[in-house]
Amino acid sequence: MKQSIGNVGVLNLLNATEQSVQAYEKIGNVGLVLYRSGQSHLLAALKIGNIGKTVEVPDHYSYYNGTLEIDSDYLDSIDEPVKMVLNGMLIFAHDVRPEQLSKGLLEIIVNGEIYAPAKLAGQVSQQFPEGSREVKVYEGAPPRLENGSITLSNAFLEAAEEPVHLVVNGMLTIPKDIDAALFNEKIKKIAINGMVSVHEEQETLLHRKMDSAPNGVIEVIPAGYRVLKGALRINSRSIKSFRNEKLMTKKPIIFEADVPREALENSISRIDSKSFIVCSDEIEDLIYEKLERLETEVLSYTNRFILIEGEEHWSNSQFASLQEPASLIVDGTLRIDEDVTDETIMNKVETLDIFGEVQVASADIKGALQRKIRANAGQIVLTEEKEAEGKPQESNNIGELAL
Amino acid sequence: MDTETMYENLQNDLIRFAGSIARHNQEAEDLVQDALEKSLKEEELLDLPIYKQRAWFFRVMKNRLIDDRRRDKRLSGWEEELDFPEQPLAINRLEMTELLSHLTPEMGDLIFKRYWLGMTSKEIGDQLQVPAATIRYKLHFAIKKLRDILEEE
Repeated sequence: MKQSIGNVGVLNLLNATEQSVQAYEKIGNVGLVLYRSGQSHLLAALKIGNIGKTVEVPDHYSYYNGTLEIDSDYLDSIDEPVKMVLNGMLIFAHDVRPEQLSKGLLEIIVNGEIYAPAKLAGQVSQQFPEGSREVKVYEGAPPRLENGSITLSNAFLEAAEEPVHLVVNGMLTIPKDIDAALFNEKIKKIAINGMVSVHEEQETLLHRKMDSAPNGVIEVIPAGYRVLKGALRINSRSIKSFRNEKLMTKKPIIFEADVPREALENSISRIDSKSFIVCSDEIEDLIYEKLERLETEVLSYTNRFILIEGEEHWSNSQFASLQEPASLIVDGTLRIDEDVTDETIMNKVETLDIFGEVQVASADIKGALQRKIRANAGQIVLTEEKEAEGKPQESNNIGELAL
Repeated sequence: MDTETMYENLQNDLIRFAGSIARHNQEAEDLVQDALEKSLKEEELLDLPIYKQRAWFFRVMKNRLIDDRRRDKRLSGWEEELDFPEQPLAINRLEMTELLSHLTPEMGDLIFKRYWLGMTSKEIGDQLQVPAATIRYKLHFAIKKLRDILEEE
C-alpha cells in the first residue's frame, strides 16, 4: 500500500528513482525540495500540497544542512575541489588567506548566510555568487553561534577573551543587572533570528550593537517593571511580599478572595498584562486603575471561581456539588459530559470566560453556556465536530525525507 | 442612595479614570457621558456598595473604548493587513516538525503553511476557501497550544 505523509521539512530527491517515488501516494506540504537536474519529472510524479522552496543540486555536488566553518588548515588539506550545496551558514575563519580562496577549490552554493572577515568580504562575495545568500562581515573573532534560549550574564561576558560577535537563533534575554561597561567592551555585534528581551534602560545599549533590526521581535520591558515568568496567585499573606511594585506578565494573575483593598493599594502600583486578571469583585475597581493596557481582561467573581488550565472533564454531579454558583474561567480545555443539563448550567455557573476551548455534547448546552459568557477569546465546540476534526497526528510529520 | 448622590460621590474618580485611558480630553468626556447615560438604565446600581459602582463604571468605559478602537481599525482597513509575525516561535525547524505532531492535522497544516512556507493568512484562506480572519483565529489557538508545549518542556 502506498504511504501518505503530512508535512516534510526537507524532501531529499538527490538519490530518488521512479520506483522509490512510487511508494508515496501523497505528501501534504514540503518546506524545501532538493533535486538534481533531470529529476524534475519525479517531483511532478509526487502529489505534493504546497512547496516552500526548491533547490537544484548540480551533478557531483553534495548537500549539507547546517553550519560549516572553514579555516586555513582545512584549505591547505584539500587538493580536489569541494562541491557542495549548503543550506545554513558558511563561516570563513580569520586566518583564511585571499590566495587560498583564489585556488578555486571551493565550489559552494550557499542558501543562507556567509560570514567572512573584512579582508575577504569582497572576494567571498564575488566567488560565491550562487544561491540565495547574504554575505556578512565580521571583525576580530568569528561569530559565536547560539541556538535556543540564552541569557547574557556578566559571567558570560567576563569569560570572553576578546569581543564577541554573537549570533542567536532563538531567544536572547539581557538581564537587568548586566554591566553596561562590560557589555560595551565584550560584545562586538549582536545578530538575532528570533526574539530578544531587553529592559528599557538597556535598549540603547543593545541597538548600538545591532547593524539591523532583529529578524523577529524585540520585547522591551518598561523601566521599573518586574517580569513574571509564570502565572501568579496572590493571597492575603503573599501580597505582603510586594512593595509598591510594577508587574509585567503574559500569564494570568489570580487574586484570592482574602486579599484586602488596603494591602493591594500598598503592594502593587501598576500591572502590564497581556493575559487576564482574576479578582474578587471587592477589589475589581482598584485593579482597573492599575492597568497599563486597555485590552487586559479583568475577570471578577462574587462567590468563587474555578480556573481550568489543563484539560478537564466535568460531569453533572461535579457541577451539582458546588454549593454556590461559580465563575468558570477556561484557559485550557473543558469537556462537559453528556449528563450535564441546562438547568445545572443555569444554576451553578455564574459567568463563563473562555480563553481556550469548551467541548459540549449538545447544541442545547452550547446555548445555555452562551448565555453565561462574559469574555470570549476562545470557542465552544460540539464534541462530534471535534472528533471529526481528527486526532493529533502520529509520526506523519518528518524533518527530512530522502526518497 | 439617589442617582445625584452617586454621581457626586464618583465624579472625580470617573473623570480621572477616563483621562487615564483616553487619548484626549474630548474622548475622556465622551466616555464619562456615555457611561452616565448607560447607568440610568441600571437601577440596581444605586443599591451597590461604592467600590462595585466604581468597578461598573470603569468596566463600561473601558469596554466602550475597546469597541471604539476596534471600529476605527475596521474603518481604516487595517485588520485585513494585520497578520502574525512570521517567527513567533524561535525554534529550529526540525523541532517544529516534531511539535506539529501535538496538533490536529488541520492545525498542523495551517501552522506549516503559515510559518514554514511563509504563506499569508489570506493565501491560505483563498486555498481552503475560508475567510482570512478564520485562518488567523485558528492559528491563534494553534500557536497558543504550541507555546504551552514549549514552556512545559
